[in-house]
Amino acid sequence: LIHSLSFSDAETVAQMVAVIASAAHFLSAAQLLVNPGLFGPNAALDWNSVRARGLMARTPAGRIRSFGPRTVSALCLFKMLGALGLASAGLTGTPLLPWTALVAATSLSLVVRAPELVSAADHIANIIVVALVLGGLGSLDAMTMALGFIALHVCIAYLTAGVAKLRHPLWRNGKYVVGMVSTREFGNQWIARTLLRNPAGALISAWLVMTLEILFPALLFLPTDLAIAGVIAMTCFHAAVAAMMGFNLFFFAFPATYPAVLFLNFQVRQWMV
Amino acid sequence: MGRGDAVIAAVFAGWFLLVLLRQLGLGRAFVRRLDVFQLVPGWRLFSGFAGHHDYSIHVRNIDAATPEWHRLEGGPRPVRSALWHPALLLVRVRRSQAISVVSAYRQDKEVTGSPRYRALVGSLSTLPQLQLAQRFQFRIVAERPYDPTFEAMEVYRSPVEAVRTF
Repeated sequence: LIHSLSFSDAETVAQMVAVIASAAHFLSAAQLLVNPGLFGPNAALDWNSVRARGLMARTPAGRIRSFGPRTVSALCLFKMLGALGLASAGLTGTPLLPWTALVAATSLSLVVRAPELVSAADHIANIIVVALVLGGLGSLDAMTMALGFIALHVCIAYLTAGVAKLRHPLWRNGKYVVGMVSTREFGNQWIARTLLRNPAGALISAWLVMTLEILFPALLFLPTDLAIAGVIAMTCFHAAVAAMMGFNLFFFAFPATYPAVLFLNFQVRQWMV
Repeated sequence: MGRGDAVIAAVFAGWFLLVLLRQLGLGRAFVRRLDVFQLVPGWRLFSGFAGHHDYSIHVRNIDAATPEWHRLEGGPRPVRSALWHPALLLVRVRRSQAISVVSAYRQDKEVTGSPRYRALVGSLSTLPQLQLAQRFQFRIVAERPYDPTFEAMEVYRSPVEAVRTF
């Protein structure tokens, strides 16, 4: 299936990116929509406490007096509508811009409203739609730049994450992985027991994660078949993280960048030849 | 390349530069001061002090005959969390507030006056466990419930707070 897709045409690749990213945005908004209790007065994300913080207090958003659960629900519904429109536009080949703009506007408003809820998956999903908005404002060259930006950004993200882990002694000896899977929030009892009994397994897992992350930027330079194998491996990695740690948005948000990575791989290899 | 595309290219170049600076730890305060939409995130995922512990919050009714600690939330994640995990949001907020309190406490910064601390106290006041309480206290415990060899550690204990009535 992947071989039948073309990663040389910016418009087609932007559509692929949009379709996968729309799933992350839809799911993120739906999960927020069923949590209105977080946004009421004196709830965990009471607007008055959010807007009183340093960064927010200095922006125009800090002057908004009321930003309660109803507004949040409305934003979530519009974001879900935008995500459906984006998926549909990506699949039918109609213009992406109105939908990327709607998703970007609603999503960034939700970032302002609930900064604590923004995960790394939300970060990358937002970066994708904002880049696609910018790309959609110009010619095909601008969309090419947008895809290049998305690809380079995700390479930097993986590389930074991998290097930061490599510098941590508990990652190097595998103990960080054991600690992580032993938590209730991100862990799993069965995996924790297994790794506690087999420290070598923890060590291998830690080094596998660090290797995948650090070597990710190499996908830009590898022969296309190897690059495709690399993104399939990373998709499997995110599926495993979703299953074991409950980070379901990561499974859509990061793989949404992979068509852009393969696009940049194609451009780099053209240039190298 | 037209003029519009040149402007877009300049925006991407500036944005990418900020991303690079943020990862290198250069101008971090500058970027964070501007980045209200979090479009220049730090990408050091799961490499900080907090990633390998739960920071669970426990509360107790100070006025009860036997003021016992009650752990908030918990229980294993359901299998469906791989696809649908709305409960993660409350976990993320509580975790973020707890880590913020612990970080400020460790750095000898003002804890109880910060907006996050006040938000935490406000939201804890509405807990069913404190329905009849006038005053309460909370503590933050670093723990790893699935590791029997790890001893849970109390990392922060709040002063006694009045339950806010609304």
